[in-house]
Amino acid sequence: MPRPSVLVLLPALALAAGTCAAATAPVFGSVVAIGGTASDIALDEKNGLLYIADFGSNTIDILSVSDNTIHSSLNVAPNPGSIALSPGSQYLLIAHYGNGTTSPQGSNIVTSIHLADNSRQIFNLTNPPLAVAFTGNGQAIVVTTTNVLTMDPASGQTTVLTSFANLANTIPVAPATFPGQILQAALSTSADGNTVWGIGSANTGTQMIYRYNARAGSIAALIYTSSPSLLARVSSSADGSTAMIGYSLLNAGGYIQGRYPNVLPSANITGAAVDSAHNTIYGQFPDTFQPTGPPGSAGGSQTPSLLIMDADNLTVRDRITMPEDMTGHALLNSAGTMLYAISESGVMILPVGSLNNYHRLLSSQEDIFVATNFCSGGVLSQSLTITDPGGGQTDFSISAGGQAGVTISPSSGTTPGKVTVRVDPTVFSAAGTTAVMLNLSSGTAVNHPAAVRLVVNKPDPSQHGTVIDQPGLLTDILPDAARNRIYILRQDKNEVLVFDATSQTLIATFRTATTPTMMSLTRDQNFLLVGHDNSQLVTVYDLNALAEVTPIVLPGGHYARSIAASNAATLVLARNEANGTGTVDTINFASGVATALPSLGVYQNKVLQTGVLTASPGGGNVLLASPDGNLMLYTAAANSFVASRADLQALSGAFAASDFNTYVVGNTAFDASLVPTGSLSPPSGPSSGFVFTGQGGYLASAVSSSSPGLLEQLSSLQNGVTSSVSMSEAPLLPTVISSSSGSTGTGGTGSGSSTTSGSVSAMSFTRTVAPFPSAGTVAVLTTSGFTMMSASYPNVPPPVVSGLVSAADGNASVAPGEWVSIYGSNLSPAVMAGGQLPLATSLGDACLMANGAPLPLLFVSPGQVNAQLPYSIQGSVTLSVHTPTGVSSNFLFTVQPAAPSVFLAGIAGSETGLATIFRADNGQLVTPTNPIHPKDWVTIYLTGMGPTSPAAIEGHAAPSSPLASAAIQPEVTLGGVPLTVSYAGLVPGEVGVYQINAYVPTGVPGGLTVPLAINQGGATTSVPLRVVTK
Amino acid sequence: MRVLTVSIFAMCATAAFGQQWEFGAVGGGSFLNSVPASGATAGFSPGFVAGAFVSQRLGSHFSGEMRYEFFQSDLRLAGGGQTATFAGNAHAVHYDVAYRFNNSESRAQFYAAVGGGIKLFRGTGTEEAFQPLSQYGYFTKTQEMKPLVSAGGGFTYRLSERLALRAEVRDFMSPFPTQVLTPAPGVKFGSFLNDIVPTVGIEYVH
Repeated sequence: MPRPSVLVLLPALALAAGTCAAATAPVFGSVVAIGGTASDIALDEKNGLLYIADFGSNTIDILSVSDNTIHSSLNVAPNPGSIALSPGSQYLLIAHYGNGTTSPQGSNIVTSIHLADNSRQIFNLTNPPLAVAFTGNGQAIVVTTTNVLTMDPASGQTTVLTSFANLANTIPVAPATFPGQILQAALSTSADGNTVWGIGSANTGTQMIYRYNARAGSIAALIYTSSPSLLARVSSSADGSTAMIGYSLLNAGGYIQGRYPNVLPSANITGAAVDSAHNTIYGQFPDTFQPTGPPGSAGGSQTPSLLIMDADNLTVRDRITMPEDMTGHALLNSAGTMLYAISESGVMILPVGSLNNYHRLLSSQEDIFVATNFCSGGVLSQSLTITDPGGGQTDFSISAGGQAGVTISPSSGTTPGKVTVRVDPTVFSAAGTTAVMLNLSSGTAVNHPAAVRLVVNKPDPSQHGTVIDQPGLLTDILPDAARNRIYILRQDKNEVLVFDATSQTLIATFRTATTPTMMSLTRDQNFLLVGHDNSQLVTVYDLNALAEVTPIVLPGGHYARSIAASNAATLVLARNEANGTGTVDTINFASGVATALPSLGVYQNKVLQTGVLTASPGGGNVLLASPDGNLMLYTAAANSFVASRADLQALSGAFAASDFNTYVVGNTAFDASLVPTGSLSPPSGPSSGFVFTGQGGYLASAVSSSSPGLLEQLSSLQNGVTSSVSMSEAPLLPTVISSSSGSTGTGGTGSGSSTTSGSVSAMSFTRTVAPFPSAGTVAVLTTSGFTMMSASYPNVPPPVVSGLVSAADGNASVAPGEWVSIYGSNLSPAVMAGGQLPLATSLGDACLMANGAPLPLLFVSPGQVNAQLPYSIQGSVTLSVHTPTGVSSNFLFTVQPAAPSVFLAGIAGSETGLATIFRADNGQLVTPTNPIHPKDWVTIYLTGMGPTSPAAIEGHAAPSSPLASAAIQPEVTLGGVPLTVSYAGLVPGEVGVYQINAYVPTGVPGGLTVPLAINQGGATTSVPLRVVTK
Repeated sequence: MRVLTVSIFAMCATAAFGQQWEFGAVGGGSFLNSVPASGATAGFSPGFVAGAFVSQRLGSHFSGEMRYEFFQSDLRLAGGGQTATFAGNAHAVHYDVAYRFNNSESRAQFYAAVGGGIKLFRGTGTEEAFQPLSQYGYFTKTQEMKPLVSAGGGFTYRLSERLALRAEVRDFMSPFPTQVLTPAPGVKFGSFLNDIVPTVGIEYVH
């Protein structure tokens, strides 16, 4: 429901008398019922009119866009199936479909109405006209059942551009058949008037796609086989470089740039309009969230939703509830503010430019991740902000669906609203991860807000690894040891996420085409290749420049499912939509295209589309594994497939090839001839991922996605497991692949692809392990995102704490909230750095407690841990360190009310360990070559200033409004001369880091080592600085 | 700069008591020595000099001369194959006594001069947290005044009754300005600067 807005309500009130409100739930937009069946629309922005062709009533209804009311109608010849307005709104051209078998029926004519005087001319055509459009030069394009014509709207003179048969249904047709189903053709002209895109034989599965270049007078066409079939809907981009045709995004290069994923067949529901100025496509495509037929039919109970998508890869930004389904042509006004679409009752009017005036809901985050550790077993809480993207006040409710152990407070409210989610870990089963969906709803919001995933990770002390929460559907992982990066495919957002392997921070995001499936590095390791299940492209990224470069185009109907780079060729296993099988293509990087191999050695190039490819680390071999048990081997030496076997009934899960002519698929090892040599038999369940390191490797497995995972290290396939480590949560596991064709089958985890083999469902292949040998770590795709494991967890004694000092300057005096360094032995089984806020209280399997409170951790290693003290502790404090090998003895220390310590972490050239004091004059560190001058402002960064007002929370970013000021005000002197302090408190956005802003008066003494002293409640610290007096 | 201004006025007041006056301007180069700096050298890059003077004849052979010079020369550190510089300049005001070897009627006159005054050294570059060769010394954006001893000689050549050319070489000797180019802890700079300044000029005889 729109918020009370005069602009919005006025037309709504006006519509109340003459239009129907199709739904009582909050909906966006309105419907104008025409009392017939709309077959096409044309917008006359110059005169504020929308022409609506009524196929059955033989009229052209004229709707005023100022009040969205039909004021008049033109009676025309029978069966107006398509209409078009010439530039400047001079002519209205109407194509009448007369292809009938019984009387009465129409004639094969085109009516040209000169709108200035309403004079009409009727032009007879030899064949039934199906669609009409105008180019920018005033020439009409007419598609008939046999050819494509140009037509002069004044004289009716036609010229045949090209001839090919377009299918169309003969009338009369069965009841409840929409005009689009009869005509099966549509055209759309680009805003610049230079390009006309079209489709013929729509809804047949083998469609003809046209692209007419008005400047060259040439037409190009391609046969596009798809399943489900494309309906007769076309919307061109402004410059004609792309067009949305049915659910596919076609590129002027003649390839499929993207397809809306997981489309379900529908006879009449589809519509789209491209808004190039805003990089947006609006549309409706039937899927599991949308109706596939009219109300009452299968899927008809779903709510029609307007999809708001990115124009390059169809990533869905939002779903908006519409009053009706789109059943025909959709178009936008030139400003992109009003969307008009043929709908079930007539025409739907969607004020997309005013979306911010409608109630919507949005969560501030996609995931909430809570993890217990040995130090924090109590109730955990995290906050979440619910907003209205338009900035309005919208009612909301949020529910965990009755999940025990989860409470949300408040569970309803008005945006913007902050809710706190509390999790009682004791209710959840130990040793694993449980995901709970928190559903958002509203009585007034018109959008479908995405549910928030609550992930509860509750490992027991024997489990290892640091879990990094990463929302979304993650389907592949690759290590880049040379650049110390992890590449992860996020399929639902069409992205490659680039993480730093040490800090696990996101350093870059690559946009991909639609539905990325799997990745591969080129042999020179300089480029990343990404295949897509709904794009004909393999996108390519320069890893040194962190930028996308020219993509590779696959043959028509081929969609890359898996890629492997060998020393001789880069192979692509593509889903071949033309025959429903898989085809192996080879990439030619010079020409930027891939071509199908004529054969796979002595074998037919016809494999399961759900198979996967993987290359050996040295690039000598490529293994092709299929869910039906087939294995094929390609060698770079022969530049051909040399072996094929099928010893097993089915294969799934892990897949890997070594440089030693050994292979792993699922739980089975294979030799150089692909003969099974033994089972890896992971004791915890199906394999999730395997990666070779030499002759051995790492194997990840789990019983279920909510159980602990298992990471095993093998010195060789023959010697078996040499070490076995329980993981904090399960790696992604193979999933049952849905049976469908066309654009389906990518909804599973891992590199899932789709097929069924007879009545037996196939399971997906998964790649989840990425080792970093030099760092001694392994990244594993897991339930919550990914988990960083140490490569080895040797048996070590319990931790021992030997000392605790300020992390800033090594001073033994510490205060609440201060960053401290704890020294000792066996403090953590791994070296790990944290960074995500709020900071975790468990890192690298270590956690620390001070007087019973867990400490936020920034860095852990066997000999040193950097942690933040709680703000709540003072006086005598007991510290203990907990690791999987045991608990340290208590370490006693004293926490002062304040203990200011300036960070000695500044770097200037080769000089390190400098006090972090900056001159405002040039924003640089104070050093002997950048000394303090009288009248300078300086900023001092330090820790240990104690409690703040308002109170800060340890591990959390400090607030920016209001600022958290130090409760005990400091006095700052330079050479004994007091400085004026304008602010002393936490740095907004930082954890436990304070700053003092101070002014240096004239009269300070000069020298190379003038003491800058900070006195806070009797606690002092001093750093020597160079001061110049002139 | 206030000290400098007062000095110039004082110079003009003194000169006003003479009987024959010469006014002139000079320009030339400034070539300072570098002082040792614990394995490196510290000093100034060669630069240019511009100045003015007022001279009073005090007899057939002696004259007294008030001079002002502006020196444009960057601060400089060099060591280990590296060189670092920092923008700088200096102002000098001094009074010299000149002895002319020829009689006053001679068209060409050679002379020797010696005197003293002050020199104001100024660092004018942009300070940075990191400066190359900072292990030897620190360039500083500040100013420092040092005493100056001037000695040298040259000749004048009369072009007309009132106009003469002048060419000379002087050595301006001053203590090293350690506030402007400060030795790093543990580093010792040489204590004396010699600034060899060859100039040519023109003078008007009144």
